[in-house]
Amino acid sequence: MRLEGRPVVEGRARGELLVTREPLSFFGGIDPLTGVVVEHGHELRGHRVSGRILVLPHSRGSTVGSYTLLRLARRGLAPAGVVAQRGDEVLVVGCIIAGIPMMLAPSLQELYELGSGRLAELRVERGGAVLEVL
Amino acid sequence: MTKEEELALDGYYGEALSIAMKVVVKVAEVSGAERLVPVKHAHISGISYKNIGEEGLEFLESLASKGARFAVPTTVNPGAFDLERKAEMNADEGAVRGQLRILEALRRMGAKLTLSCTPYIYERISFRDHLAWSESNAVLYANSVVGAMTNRDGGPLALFEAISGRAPLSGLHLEENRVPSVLVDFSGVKKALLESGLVGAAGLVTGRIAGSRVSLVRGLSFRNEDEVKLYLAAVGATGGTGLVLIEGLSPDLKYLRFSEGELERLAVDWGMVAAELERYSGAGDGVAVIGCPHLSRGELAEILDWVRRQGGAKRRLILFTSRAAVEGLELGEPNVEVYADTCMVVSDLSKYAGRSVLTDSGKAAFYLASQGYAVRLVPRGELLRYVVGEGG
Repeated sequence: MRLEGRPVVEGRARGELLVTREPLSFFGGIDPLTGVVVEHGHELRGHRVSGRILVLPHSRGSTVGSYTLLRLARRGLAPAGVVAQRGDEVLVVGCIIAGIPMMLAPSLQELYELGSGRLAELRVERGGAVLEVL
Repeated sequence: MTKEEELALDGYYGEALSIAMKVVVKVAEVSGAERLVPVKHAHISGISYKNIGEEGLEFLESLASKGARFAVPTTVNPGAFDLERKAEMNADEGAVRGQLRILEALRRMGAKLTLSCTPYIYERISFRDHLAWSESNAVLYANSVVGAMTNRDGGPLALFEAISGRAPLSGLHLEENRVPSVLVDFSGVKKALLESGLVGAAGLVTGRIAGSRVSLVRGLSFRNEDEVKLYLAAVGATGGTGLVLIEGLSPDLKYLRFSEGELERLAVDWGMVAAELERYSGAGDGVAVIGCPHLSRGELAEILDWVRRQGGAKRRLILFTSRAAVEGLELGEPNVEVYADTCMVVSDLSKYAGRSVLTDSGKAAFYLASQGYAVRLVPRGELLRYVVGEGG
């Protein structure tokens, strides 16, 4: 499976997919010291974002969430890549300062159906971006 | 992009400006902005060590070391403690060190360390100035009362906008996005609101109705600008909006063209106000906290004077204000503490005031309750009477 999208932050990443249909709060929702999702009631609660290609509609909550991505990256615990439907400020700023490759896709339906676990490769270049499920 | 912006993006002016420009350009791209707009002033929130941690601190320090400098006058939001009274707030040593390093990095980049959430009182901003402000109460005030133009930016974005001197030309920077889509009508409860002085509760109601939309507000009147800031701060707590058009007050209403008939209409009844009071009806035996947003110098003097004339505070009162407001004021008053540079929401209130509070601020009630405090929301008059020993 191959999904083309719009480039936001350039780079290459390979990792297992971690997919959610629910918006995720990065500040307060992910432990910056461990990379584990701690947001109460979230379907990813207890999962670790580290090294995964995180697929989500968009983020929510405090804009300090951008710093959470930075903190994770400095500790080597950040997601390997991010694929989102909407490029909100927290994700865009966070992925840039943390150096996490990021692309936007108009629809994530296929990935929602596929779910988490498959190995995938994200390639984001100036001219285009693609997520390939291996 | 202009030639200048492209050079900055490509790193001609150094790495720091290149990162800042990259962030602003990317946010502009994804928000559909056609270009960037130069801003006159920036205000940065999200600078607390507790929230951004050691890594956030190192990031700010490395930006400063790479030569990042704010391109426009830049002020900062309150931090975790009063710089001159750390001990009284029981601030822990590691957090103090971290916070001071963050402030030093911001100072090196050229920030004026105002540590105030009310930059609109101290900075020169005018109608139709483009600003890069974070801190929701400040954004709401600048847009709704001054008619300046700023989005409700996040702290990190405002930092990069301050360095680049530019913001994406989108959202509330564009006249067409400042027209209202909903009418919030307080006419039916106007008299009761005025008599009760429940400004904070009115703000919470407005925010819940407006959500992220621009609203036209009818039937509210305020005694002064200090009440307006109390109202707008509460709007920003329950709502995601950055602009409220208040009839008789907001300068935008003289210029915007829209048809009132097309607005969704919502009449506020007393039940909605009462529901907010019910949400924040905690124990009612705690410490009185006032100053969210920061008290102006006039308010501070008035409160201290009133308490003195009533024979002093019988219950503990904590006031939060900006450094600029306390200079030269006689603050020594038994049972009354005045803190600058910080506030009840961003400091660790439980360390010096316990976990049960009364406040007149809808915003503080909202955030403190979400942090697990027992909060009672009351009008300022009632709160002050409680402090001097009447009722309660």
